[in-house]
Order: sequence, then C-alpha cells, then structure tokens
Amino acid sequence: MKVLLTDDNAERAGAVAHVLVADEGLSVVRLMPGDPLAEALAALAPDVVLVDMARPDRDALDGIRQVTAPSARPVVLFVDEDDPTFMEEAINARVASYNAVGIATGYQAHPAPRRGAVPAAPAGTGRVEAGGSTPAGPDSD
Amino acid sequence: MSKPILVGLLRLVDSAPLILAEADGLFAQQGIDVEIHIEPSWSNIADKLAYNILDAAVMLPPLALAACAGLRGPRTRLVVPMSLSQGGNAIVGNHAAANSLKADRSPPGIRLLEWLQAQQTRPRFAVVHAFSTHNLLLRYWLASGGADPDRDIETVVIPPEEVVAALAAGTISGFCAGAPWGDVAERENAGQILVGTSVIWPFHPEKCLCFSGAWSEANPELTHRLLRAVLQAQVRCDRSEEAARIAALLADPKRLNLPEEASRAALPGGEGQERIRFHTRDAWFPARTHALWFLGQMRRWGWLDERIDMAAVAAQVYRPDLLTSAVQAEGLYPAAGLPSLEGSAMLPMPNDEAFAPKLR
Repeated sequence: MKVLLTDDNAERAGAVAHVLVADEGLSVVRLMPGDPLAEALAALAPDVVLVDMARPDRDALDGIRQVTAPSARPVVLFVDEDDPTFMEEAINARVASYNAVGIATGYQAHPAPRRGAVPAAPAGTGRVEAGGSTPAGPDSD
Repeated sequence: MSKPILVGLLRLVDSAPLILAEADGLFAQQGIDVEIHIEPSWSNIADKLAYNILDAAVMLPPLALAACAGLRGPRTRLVVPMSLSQGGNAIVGNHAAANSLKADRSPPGIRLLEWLQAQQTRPRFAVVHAFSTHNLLLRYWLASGGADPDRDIETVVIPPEEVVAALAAGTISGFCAGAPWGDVAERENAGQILVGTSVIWPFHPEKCLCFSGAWSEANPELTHRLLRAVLQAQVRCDRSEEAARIAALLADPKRLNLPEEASRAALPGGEGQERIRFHTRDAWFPARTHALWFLGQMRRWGWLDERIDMAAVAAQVYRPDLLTSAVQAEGLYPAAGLPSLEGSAMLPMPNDEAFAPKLR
C-alpha cells in the first residue's frame, strides 16, 4: 500500500514517517514543502494520503474519487467513523478523515500529534527521537 | 451571553457581509457574540461544520449538498437558511485558448472543440473545489459547446490565490475562480477572461451561509439573530457608495488582507468584468430550485447515485423557512409575504435548449 505523507511540519512528518516505514506493507512517499498536492496525487496515485488539515491545497483531495480522478484509488482512512469523539480529536489535531472505500478494514492509523508535540511511539516500534532527527521517509518506486 | 457563535470563512470578497457585520457592530446590535475564523480551505470549513467545531460558515452550496448526500465522507447534517451572494466567477483561458475561441464564447461554438482537439494532451483546468459552483458552471459551459469535460479536459483543484501563477507558468491552460482572480489574470497578462459565470447563468447563486444542523436546531434564537445581522450587512454590501469602505475593510491585514483594488473592482459599482451581488434580485433567498440545479448537475456527471433522492436532499439542506422570521423582522418582504418554498423569487435558469450538450 502506497502512502503519501503531506505535512510541511518537518518534525512531525519525520516522526510519522518513521513510524510508518516500520510497517513493511507500506511504501511511504513524503511530499516536500512547496510541492503541490494536486500534482503528487496525479503522479503517484497513492492508496492513502495522510494530510495536514491546515494545508490550503487540501481541497484537492475532496471529491477526488467522483470528480478529478475517477479511476484513482480512494483516499485516506484515519479514524473509525463509529467513534465521533476520536474523530473530533483527530480533527482538532489537524488530521482530516475521509471515508475510504475498498481499503481493507482493521487498519487504523494513530492520529498525528498535536502541533509541536512529539508522538508517542506505538509499542514495538521503538522510541521516536525528539527534534526531528528521523530522516525523511524513503521515496518509493 | 455565553459561548460565542463560531463562524468560518475564507479570504474571499464574497465573505464581505460577515466582515462588514462585525466591523459595523451589527452582531452586537442583535445581542450576539460572533467569533470569525479564517480557514485555509473549503474542506476545513466542511469538516469543522460536520464536527461542530464551527457553528456556521460561508460555504459553497454544492459542497454543502455533497456533504449531506454523503459524497465526502460520513453524511453530514448541514442547513442553508440563506444565500449570501450571486455571480463573481470567471472562466479564464491562456492567450492561445482565448485567441482560438475569439468571440465564440457564449455558448462556445465549434472553435472550442477545434482548440480542444488541437491540444496534444488534455488541457488542464483548475477549479477551487470539486463540489463548487465554479466546477459545475465550467463543466456546464464546456458541455454547452459540445465538449465532454471528463474526456476533453483534465480538472485539477488549486487554491484560488495560486491559479494566476499556475496559468502564467503554463501548469494549467485555464481556470474558473471567483473574484478577483479573473481580473488579476488579465492585469498580469497571464490569460484572458473567456466568459463571466453570470453570462452562463444570470444572477446565479454563489456562496451561501451554512449552519451545522445540530447547532441551528439547538439555537433557534441565535440563528434568527445571526441571520438578521447578515441580512442587514448584505443590504449595505450592495450599495456602491459603500464599496470603497468595504474594500478597505477586506484589505485590512487584521481582517482578510485581500488586494484592495481588485476587491473594489469585484464589488457593486466596480470595474471588474464579473461583479458580486449580495442583496438585490433576491440574492439572499435560498431557493430549493437552485439546490436541485446543483444536484442535477452532479447527477449529470455521474457523481450522485441514482438512489439518492435529490428532492429530499434539497429539502433537508435548503431551509428558507428558517429565514422567515428574520426576513419579516427586517421588513424585507412586502405584505404579500414570503414566496413559496420552491421560490417565486427563483432566478432565471440557463436555457437548457441553448446550452444542451451534444451526446458523446
């Protein structure tokens, strides 16, 4: 599964990428600051997009399945729809949630940390270093 | 007074009634405390309304309808008690497109098809959001000239303040965006306005004031007062003698920080090719026929499942009944009373005969 990680906050993106690359089933591509989201979507056709809610170009994700790229795989999952409280927290943490159709269930990402915070590393993935020392996620393909 | 009413908007000229209502103390006169939140994207506005982080917002009508029809995630309960503006958008093409089309633009004729066929790759057109009046009117216009927007162009979504640079750089061949970006593109010689959207649909509804359904239901009195204040502000926004002052307010760095001259051009009495209307011609009336037109276009392009009852969605979202008491309090309607729900104040629709798309 190809994951596009779009977050201009290098520290947070680095930490999230570090967690994601620990999963061998995922190939993680990071969008560099200033790169337009619309072009990356067209070029990479990611299965999942993790997006900073505050990106002005986040609208490129909305309606993408119906409108801008009918053949593309559907976008992002993040939060269980049955859990509105969790969803609200994710929104407050500046993480968007979209319905994903056709992506295996049972996979649930952790909400990204609040701005400036260092995420708690999930058990078994080791400690995430503070200060953004994690290298950028590897490009895939 | 307890918690303030949280109202979201984007940095656009169409947000003027909310900005003016705050600056002129119209909210305070109604005894309400309104906190304006400037959001970075339409998606942010839709998400925050859905999860009760905002109580109300300036909104794209097709996005409100799409959210309620479940086209962008879980079905959301939003209500639109009033329309906020009419017109103001422009379809802009690069110079090559404009020179090819010449005056053959409304509706576009054979020159549009010839230009499209001459392109080596599908020309890219940018819109501000998939579920926007801009996208639906651009597609409608293309189809009215016999083009198929799914086959003949590529649609990308780019924030409005970035479209002129993208056109100048050649990343896109054209765009449909709100004021002032069409005039800015011409001023910077990045391209030319092919057609203003008011030519496609005279007095077409543009932005609306959208409420979280849950909030509005729990706060009918606050809803009434907020609507009154915005109705008053719309009346002021439509006076050309107020335009210079409003443009200055919109340009205030502590407010929307918009380019003052370009904003002035888009306001009533301005020099822009497309201007926004806020109050006259019943710009405030949320006619369900408008909602049905937007939904009908979404169905036309295959985005809206046949099982979705368009009339039910329109009736659930467009709620002119919530506006009745505010309109009466403002004395905006004559003694004959409000128009029927389906809108005797309905605006002229595009002529479907003249604009009928050819079959593929």
